[in-house]
Amino acid sequence: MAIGSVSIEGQVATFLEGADRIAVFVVTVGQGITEISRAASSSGDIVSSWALDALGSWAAEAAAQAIAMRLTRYLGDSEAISPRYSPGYCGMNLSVQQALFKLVEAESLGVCLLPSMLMQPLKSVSGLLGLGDRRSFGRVDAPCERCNDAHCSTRR
Amino acid sequence: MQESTELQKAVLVGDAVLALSLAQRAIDQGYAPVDLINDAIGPAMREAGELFEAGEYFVPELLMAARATKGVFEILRPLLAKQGVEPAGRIVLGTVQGDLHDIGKNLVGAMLEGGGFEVIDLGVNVTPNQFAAAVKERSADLVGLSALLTTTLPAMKATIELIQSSGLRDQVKIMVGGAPVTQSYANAISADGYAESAALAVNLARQLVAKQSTASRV
Repeated sequence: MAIGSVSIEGQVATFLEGADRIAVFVVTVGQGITEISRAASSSGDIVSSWALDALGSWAAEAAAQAIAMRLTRYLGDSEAISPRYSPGYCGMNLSVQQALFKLVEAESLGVCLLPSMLMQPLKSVSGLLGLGDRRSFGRVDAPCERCNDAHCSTRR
Repeated sequence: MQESTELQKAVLVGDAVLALSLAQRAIDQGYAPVDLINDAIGPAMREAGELFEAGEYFVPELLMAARATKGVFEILRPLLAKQGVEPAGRIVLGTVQGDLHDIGKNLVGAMLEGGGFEVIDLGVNVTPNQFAAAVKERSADLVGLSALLTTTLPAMKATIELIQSSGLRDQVKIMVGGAPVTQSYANAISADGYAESAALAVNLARQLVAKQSTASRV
């Protein structure tokens, strides 16, 4: 699948083949919550550290979901939006991060990509969504039905 | 021994304040620090681990139990050192190069501490050289490598290889863990063990230390 001059490999191309438009996004909660979590851990409060880390992850996911909801403003009458797909999930290789970061000016948010494909700040989410005919994206759970990872924490 | 039973209960339910005051009272009354570990703290953490494996305790309960032992160890450590008591084992722990995740590693460290191990936690994004240097400087007998990204698994292999080429491989047993790690990957990179959870990591650490040491440890 090609988005402009950037090629996206793998299964996600089949999940998005009905799309007329592709939205690419990066969201971040920022570095602060990770720093507070680490400070708690350094002082021995591993419970607060864990809770803050979990809160950061939840907030990042909520921000990604907010983006998806905001995109519904751009839908035509017979259109729907696909589920969100992020590198490292749904058969999308982590290396797709590099392609996504070429399409989104993540540096303007202060988000950078480490050589390991990890985003910094840690509590950041990147991904793709497709917009297109309702018949292509009516079923939200379709990718999970095709995936063998029964233990995935984000199985829909 | 009523104090040790009460301390065991306090640790198991994660009551850090009560655990600390019970431990202090026991010490003041002449209870030997090493016996507090063997009679109360160790059994409490083992039980917490068993409850986790049984699906009755989850990560927060394990963390609360481990946190309850931290304050107790603050008062026990200097007393143990004065008495020349050795830890159950000495482990260098860290998240490998390129990876910044630390919650799982922190839980393993806390569980090991609760089990009487000395934990040298190097943090995250730790290079192979840093692991090797710590093994040498701290006379470690165990190394624990954590990774949460498939892209940082090669750093585990590189760390083991550097420990080997530095002539330190025979000194340590190396255990690995983290979401993308599997037993077959651990075998492929010549790790000595793989643990699926923090609770199982403590059991593994004990087994590996027993294999490693020729002298008995308390």
